[in-house]
Amino acid sequence: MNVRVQVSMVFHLDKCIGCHTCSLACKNLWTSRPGAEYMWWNNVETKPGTGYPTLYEDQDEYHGGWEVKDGKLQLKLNTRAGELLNISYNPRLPALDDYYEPWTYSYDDVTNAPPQDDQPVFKPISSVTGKEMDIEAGPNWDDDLGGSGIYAANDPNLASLPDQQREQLLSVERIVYFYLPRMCNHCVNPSCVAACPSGAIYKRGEDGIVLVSQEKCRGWRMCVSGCPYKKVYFNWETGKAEKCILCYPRLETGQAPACMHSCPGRIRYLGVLLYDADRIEETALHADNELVDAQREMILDPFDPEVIRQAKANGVEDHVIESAQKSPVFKFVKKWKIALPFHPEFRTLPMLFYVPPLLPVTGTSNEEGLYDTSSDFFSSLENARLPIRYMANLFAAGDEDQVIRIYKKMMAGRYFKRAQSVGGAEDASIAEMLTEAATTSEELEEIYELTTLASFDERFVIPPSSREAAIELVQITLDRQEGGGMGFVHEPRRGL
Amino acid sequence: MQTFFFVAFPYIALILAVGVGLYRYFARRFTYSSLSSELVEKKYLFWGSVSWHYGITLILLAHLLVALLPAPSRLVLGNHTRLVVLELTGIGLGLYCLFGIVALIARRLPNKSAARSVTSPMDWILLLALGYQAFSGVGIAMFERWGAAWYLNTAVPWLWSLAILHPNAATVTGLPFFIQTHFINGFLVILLFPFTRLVHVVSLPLEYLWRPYQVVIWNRDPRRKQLPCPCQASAVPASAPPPLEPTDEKRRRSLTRIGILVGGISAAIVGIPSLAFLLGLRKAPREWRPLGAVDSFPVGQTVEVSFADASPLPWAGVTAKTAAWLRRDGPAQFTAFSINCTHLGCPVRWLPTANLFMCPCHGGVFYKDGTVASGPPPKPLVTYPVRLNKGIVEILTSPVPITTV
Amino acid sequence: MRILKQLWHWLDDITGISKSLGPILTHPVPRARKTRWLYVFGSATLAAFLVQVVTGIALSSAYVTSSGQAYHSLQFINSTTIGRIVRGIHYFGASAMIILIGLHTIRVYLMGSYKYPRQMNWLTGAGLLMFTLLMAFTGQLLRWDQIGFWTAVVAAEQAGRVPLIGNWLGHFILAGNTAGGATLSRFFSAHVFFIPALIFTFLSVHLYLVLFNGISEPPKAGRPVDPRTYRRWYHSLLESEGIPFWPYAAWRDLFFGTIVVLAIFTLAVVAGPPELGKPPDPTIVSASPRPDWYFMWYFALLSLIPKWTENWVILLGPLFFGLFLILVPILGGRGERSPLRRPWSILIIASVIVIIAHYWAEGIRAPWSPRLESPPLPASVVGVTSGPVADGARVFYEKGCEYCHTVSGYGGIRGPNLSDAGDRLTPAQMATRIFSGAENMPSYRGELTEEQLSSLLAFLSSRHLLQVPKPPVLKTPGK
Repeated sequence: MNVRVQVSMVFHLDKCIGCHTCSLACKNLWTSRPGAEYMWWNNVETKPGTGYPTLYEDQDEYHGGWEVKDGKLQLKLNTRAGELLNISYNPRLPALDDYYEPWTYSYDDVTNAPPQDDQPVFKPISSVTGKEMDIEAGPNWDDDLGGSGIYAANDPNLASLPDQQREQLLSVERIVYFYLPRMCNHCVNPSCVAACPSGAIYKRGEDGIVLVSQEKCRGWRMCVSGCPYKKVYFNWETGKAEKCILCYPRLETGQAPACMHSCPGRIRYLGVLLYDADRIEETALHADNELVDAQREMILDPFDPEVIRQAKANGVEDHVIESAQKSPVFKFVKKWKIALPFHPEFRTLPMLFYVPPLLPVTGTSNEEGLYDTSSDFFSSLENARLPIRYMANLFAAGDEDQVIRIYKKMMAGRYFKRAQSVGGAEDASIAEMLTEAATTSEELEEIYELTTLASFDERFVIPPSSREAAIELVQITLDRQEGGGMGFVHEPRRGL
Repeated sequence: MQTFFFVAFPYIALILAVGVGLYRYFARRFTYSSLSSELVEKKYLFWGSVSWHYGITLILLAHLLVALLPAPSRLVLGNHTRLVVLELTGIGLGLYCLFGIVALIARRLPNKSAARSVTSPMDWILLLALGYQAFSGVGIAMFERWGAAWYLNTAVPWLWSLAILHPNAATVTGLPFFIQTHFINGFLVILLFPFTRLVHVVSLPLEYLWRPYQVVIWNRDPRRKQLPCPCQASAVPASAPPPLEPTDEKRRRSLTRIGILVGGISAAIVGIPSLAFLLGLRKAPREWRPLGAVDSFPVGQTVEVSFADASPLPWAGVTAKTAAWLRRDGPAQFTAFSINCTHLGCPVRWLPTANLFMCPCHGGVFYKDGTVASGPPPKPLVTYPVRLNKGIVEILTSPVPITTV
Repeated sequence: MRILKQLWHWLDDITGISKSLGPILTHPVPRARKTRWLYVFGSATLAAFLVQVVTGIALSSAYVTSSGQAYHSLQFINSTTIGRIVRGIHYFGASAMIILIGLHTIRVYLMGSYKYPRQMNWLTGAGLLMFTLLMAFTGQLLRWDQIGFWTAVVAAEQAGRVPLIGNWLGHFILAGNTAGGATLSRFFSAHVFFIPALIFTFLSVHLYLVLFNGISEPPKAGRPVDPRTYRRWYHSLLESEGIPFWPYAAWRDLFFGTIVVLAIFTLAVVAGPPELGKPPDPTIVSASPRPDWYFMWYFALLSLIPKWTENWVILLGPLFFGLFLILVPILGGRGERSPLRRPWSILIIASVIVIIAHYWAEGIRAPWSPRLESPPLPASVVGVTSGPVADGARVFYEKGCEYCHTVSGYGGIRGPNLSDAGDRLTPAQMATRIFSGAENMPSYRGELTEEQLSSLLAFLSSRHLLQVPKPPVLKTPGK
């Protein structure tokens, strides 16, 4: 057992209101620079939808992530030699049009306009060419199902749904959507790291944050295609790859990452997980429908004395183990098993988990107007407004049972709390419901506590950085990190 | 001019390429990038980049292979059929290359193109230099026929002479001007290497072929045991100085700059004249000095003569004299040899019975006509101009001969 | 006594000497148990340098910087007893400084003391090493006798090998077209002002860095230097077992430095300064320039390496040496310090010492130099006094064969020993060799008359090793 530490996150999608505050916090902090305007290290997508960059989940097009070939894990992108041969032109690289051409406005035309008869207007100016442009796409172009006939209909996750269900989704009365905030998953088996020919992307041993060394990066662009989530971006100005750094300068000083800190819906949780690094490859080799369980197995129980012993032998400090025991992520993922990784079938073992949203599933009613919640608690799942199949495609590699199990537990919690506060259900039927959802009243109380009442310190359990063990973490982070992440030693000016 | 372009310029280019390249790598590593513009313009890049990179790699390898292995190449190219086949392949690759670079230039030309906006002035210079190199290469292959063959006897010896620090441009100075531009432009590209995005050539990540897929970097030793007590206070200074006001900061910066400027000017005022005085050479005029009557030198004998320097300093004392070996070859024929061995300047001795000059330092031996007989000297003994003037032998004072590379 | 004490208090009060120098003198240094005597070479080099400064100033008060008169002023210095001793001290001080700085460098390299954070200590030290060698070279030249004069020419010729600017550089060093009136002043200025100024500058930084980074602790196998933790660890080491430099460590430096000074002085008195050669007259062509002992190995190197590598060695040799000195701390700034874990460092030092020692010995023997002073072969060697053999021996001498070939203990050692030529070669084979010559031998085609050749062959054929009578073979009785 090789115990390692990973800072990971849980997003409770039921609580996301799609306000994009996280995206803006991130943009203002990190990506408001020339060459980075088009990057959204954190973005919020409307699902069903094509996402950003367009259709990024379609790996037949982009070849991101891993595939199993002859019982071995291999990059879907290319072989190693093939990558080097394609180094002068990467056929799988998304072009700027697949994101959008960033622009600003000629504000001067308005603010400095001379007195005139007509109302002055300003024109969009491309941030790339500096010339006037026609805006054809932008960030969140399909926000709130804008143009759903084009965007939502093309969602690759709908492909395996029966035609009838797909048509239903788009019919006006039944239209349904939810928000999906996305950022780098800081995977345990990152394919961007594996695809980088220069060896510039690396995973930090202590906390598992995946960073790009700006000094080592030579702009070969393979990481952009390698990442199935398209969360590595190419800075066209500096010629280097950039990605979410999980705000490590904030984490190291005990603050939550900017996107998490600013979330008004409090949907985000952050804490460390312990996992067994010896089992990474074995886990990623599992069949599609076993992936979620295998990944959960790989994550270790921080209360297990054997795990604690091995962790200490690996140099994990006591206070990190302690924070792993307090970690809200551990509870959601391993203890209650109600959070799932996004597209586990890409086999990068992402370490950002989502509690699937309940509202779009239950947001419909039967002919009488109400479900009979006195005994038939879970009937709505069968004719859910947003097909369970879709959720399974997103979060469980198509395994519907995983999703149904979670929904049952979440619904049980809801009925349980409703019965507590307003009554209306018999104790016996409640007990029956708990059994069917494979849960207990104690567990539901705990979930309720952490979901609705948790304080800042309970949502974000950040281990103190161990100054005594790793000097780089705290002493002048920016120049001792050798350019890790955004730690520019020099001004990030374009080379000649 | 030819010496500059074929001897000095290649060295300048190479020294700059290596020196500045290393400096940039160690001091400005962030600027090492291929600076790909694929993100902003993909369609034309495919035609340009792929053709150019594959074409130029193969062509360069061929150039390099022949230059490195001249003898086997001579064997291979000796056969006419093989020569024609290889030349045709070369022209094909050259055209492929030329097509690529033209496409690469063209895609950056349109005024509104995104590729143009990410093009720096140095990029334009580089593109033009590379474009001309491809163009002149194809031109040479087409119109100066069998370049593969004459390359071996002209440019290759010249490149070798550069490599072994015995530069000799004799084999290329006579070539047509068009061909020479190809050579010069080639070294221009080498010179441009550290100043442009061309640096990405040396970072071809071959290591990727065998390194493990995953890269994990630890800030601490991952296998180290826990420290006993993490609560020990570290030796961080207690308090930092209070932050400066922004205006103060500005003032401080400008004062620093003025200080550096004024100091630099003062240093230059004192330093430049001193340096100039130190470097200024006394250019002595060359004078004819009498050595003695013609008849005082027997025919066929070599004797030591001494004469005063051209313009001796009053305090030079005995060092104002110079010695030489004077040999009377015939009634009116005299040769004067410098006494300085061409190896490292030690005084050679004439051994009259053996008819040899011998050097006591490292054992150089010269025949009586000054040519090298044995030992380390690289060149024959240097001679002084000698003339007969009204029955007097006269010698022209000359600088100490210095054997340079 | 009281007045002196008061004076000291007053002086200390207005200058703050004890406040500024006190902590420096008593700063803690690590305890080096077994290796404590290895830490004295640096301070001993400093001692030798101070000796050089003092005696150098004294000598410069009588030395005349003039190509024509320097030789006479040295003769004047030599004519006084004290002058001889001061010159002797300056000479042996230079030798001591070279030896000590070499030992110091080897010690620092082997112990890995140049690793983090002492890289700049090493780099300034490397500069000091270079300057010391330059001082040795220019100092030998200032002796301005015949050898000193030719040293200047050789220096110019070596600089002349630099591509493109070589010719200019060579004449720049000579300060003119020929070695003459202006040459000496140039080297005097370098030896007395320019290089010492650099030495003082580098020395200050070097000493400052020694104080700033602290003396390196003795290395221990399995205890690598990690820049992240080293300083903290070093400070805790000093706190737990450091000793004040003064007087617990300084006394060794003082003791060894005193021994060095005493040794220099004794040698100066007993052996005296190097004798002056002939005056620096360029017209005396029988000069035989040799460097002082510290460059003897380089002198040998330039004779013994293959001809085609010479330019590379002259140009790139010093460059690579300098580059090596610079790269050592940059590339090896961390990791194991103990020589036990750095076998390559031991190998490098051992090979450098072996190579230099070998070339040094060769330089003293100088087998490549013709023995121009060899006398003609005496009759006892030739064996006869007339006839072709005796004529051949004369030819052997006159034609210069003897300068390079030994016969029965006479002659040079550049070519093969011909004492037993008659045993090895037939006259025809000898003739071939004499006519065709070789890389290291001139061809004598056209130089020898018919009779000269036949008598020379007769002489060479008569050269045999002494025939030792073979013991009689005893017949063993058969069974």
